[in-house]
Amino acid sequence: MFPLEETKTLVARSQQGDLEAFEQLVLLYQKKVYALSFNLTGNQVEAQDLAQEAFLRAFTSLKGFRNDADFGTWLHRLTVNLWINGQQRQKKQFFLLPGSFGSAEGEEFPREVAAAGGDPQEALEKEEFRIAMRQALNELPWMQKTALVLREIEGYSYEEIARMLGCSVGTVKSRLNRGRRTLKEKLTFFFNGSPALEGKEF
Amino acid sequence: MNCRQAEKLLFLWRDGRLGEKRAGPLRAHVNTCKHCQRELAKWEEVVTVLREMNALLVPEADFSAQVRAKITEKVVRQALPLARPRIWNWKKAVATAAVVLLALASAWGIISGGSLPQNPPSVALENPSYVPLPGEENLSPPPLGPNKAVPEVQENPGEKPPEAEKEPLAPPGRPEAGQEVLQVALEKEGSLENEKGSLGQDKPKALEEGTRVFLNKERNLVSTLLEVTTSEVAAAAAKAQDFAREAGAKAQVIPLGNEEEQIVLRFVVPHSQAEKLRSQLEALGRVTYQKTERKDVTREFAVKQEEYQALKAQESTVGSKERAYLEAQIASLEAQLQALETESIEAGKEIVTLWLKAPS
Repeated sequence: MFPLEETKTLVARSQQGDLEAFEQLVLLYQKKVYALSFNLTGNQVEAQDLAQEAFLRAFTSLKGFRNDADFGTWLHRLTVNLWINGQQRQKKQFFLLPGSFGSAEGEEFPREVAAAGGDPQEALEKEEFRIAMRQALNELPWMQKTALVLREIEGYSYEEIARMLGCSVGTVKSRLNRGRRTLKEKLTFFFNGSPALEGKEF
Repeated sequence: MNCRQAEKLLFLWRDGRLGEKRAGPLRAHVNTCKHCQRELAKWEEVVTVLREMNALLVPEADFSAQVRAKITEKVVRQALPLARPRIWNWKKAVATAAVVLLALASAWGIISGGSLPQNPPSVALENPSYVPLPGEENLSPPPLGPNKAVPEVQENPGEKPPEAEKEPLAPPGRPEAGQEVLQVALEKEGSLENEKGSLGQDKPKALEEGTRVFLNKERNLVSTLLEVTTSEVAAAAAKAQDFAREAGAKAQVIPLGNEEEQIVLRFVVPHSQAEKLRSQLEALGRVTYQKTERKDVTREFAVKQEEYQALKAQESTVGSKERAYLEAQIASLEAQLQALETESIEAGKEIVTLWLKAPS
């Protein structure tokens, strides 16, 4: 995915305090970190803050990073750790209010209708489904959401997720199970079929 | 196996977490059950959409520049002589928390008889060992939460407060001329009340002797961070100091280690001279980063003042062990308040921080 040797060299230079090298690392990994941050926080502003904080933390803790480990995974661990600590500190969940999607304040979610191409009606339905999906994901309890995002979107193993979340594999299983069940309940229209969506390929 | 039993195992099977003993019967069921096949297919669609959505997520175009700016600001701030004690020793943190709680109890009237404020200084309670520099609250300290999976950032763990902490820019008790700082020695209640600010309502009326009172009013900091790359760092630094002198600016040299490679200079310059100084500094080399921002620090000032007064009220009641740490915090807060007071645009000043770097 990322050129391994290039990353290792950049990490080694960054560990010596080379800011230019670290900026290159940011450019290489920003999408990966930002996307995870967005999936966890559910909005652009908090995602931007979380991702930036993760890189800032990465820069200041880089000396402790073993360069034989995967830098991207390490960044994800930092991000998840910051996210969890933030959640625990605030003792509240980041629920978006119903009906706030695509509101005038706007642009909570990237709108991709134009980019979808083809039939505008189909593109609109696809976009609506994505919005419903994002809403459902955001409404999950944050621990279930974190486990689900790390497993289904990022593809981490149960063991890796357990390490990131600081819990047992059994707890990961349980959170994934509950997360999937809750998500399914929130997407009943899709799982139980709806005339508008039946037969559509997403 | 029926569908109800199968549904409990479907995801474990999909994730490859099911042994063959249970996977065999499940596979046999799914191969013949349209309902379970549909269930799996639907979930695959959900995951596909989630991943498609993920692929569309991109940060703002200047994301890396913003990260770089944050790092630059953090490096510069950490190098400032005002840098506060960074003590992550849990014993000290707990001791300080206790002190702050006692101080708050005192400030809220349990000891002094004053009234309860509507907005207690939450900053002190969230992380008592953390006293951010002006404008630094977005750089949160390493969390002290239970999850230690990730190595925490610990700059100088367990280190004692630096000497500079005890010697703020202007020593307490010697305010600059024209500064709206009042030196008070109050024993009796209500002999002096400061103006009410956003968080300054219902202040504890009794203040400890030697407690400085800073007036609550609107304050804004206008600061420029200028990163200039030059092969002649030392010469450029000397020139910069000459320019600053001409502009009537107060200058601080902030050592970052190897002075041939990089040096940070911080200037507090009269507003009328700021633009001229900035252009002179820009001409010292290649400008690799520049950002000017105006920040309203009114609330930050009020919060710090609350915290300062609470700690000051407690100063004489703690044991010698906690007292040294408390004094360091008080001195730090006082210096920060002083800086916010004298470096604001309302005081006719702007801050220009110049980071001179040799090309890498």
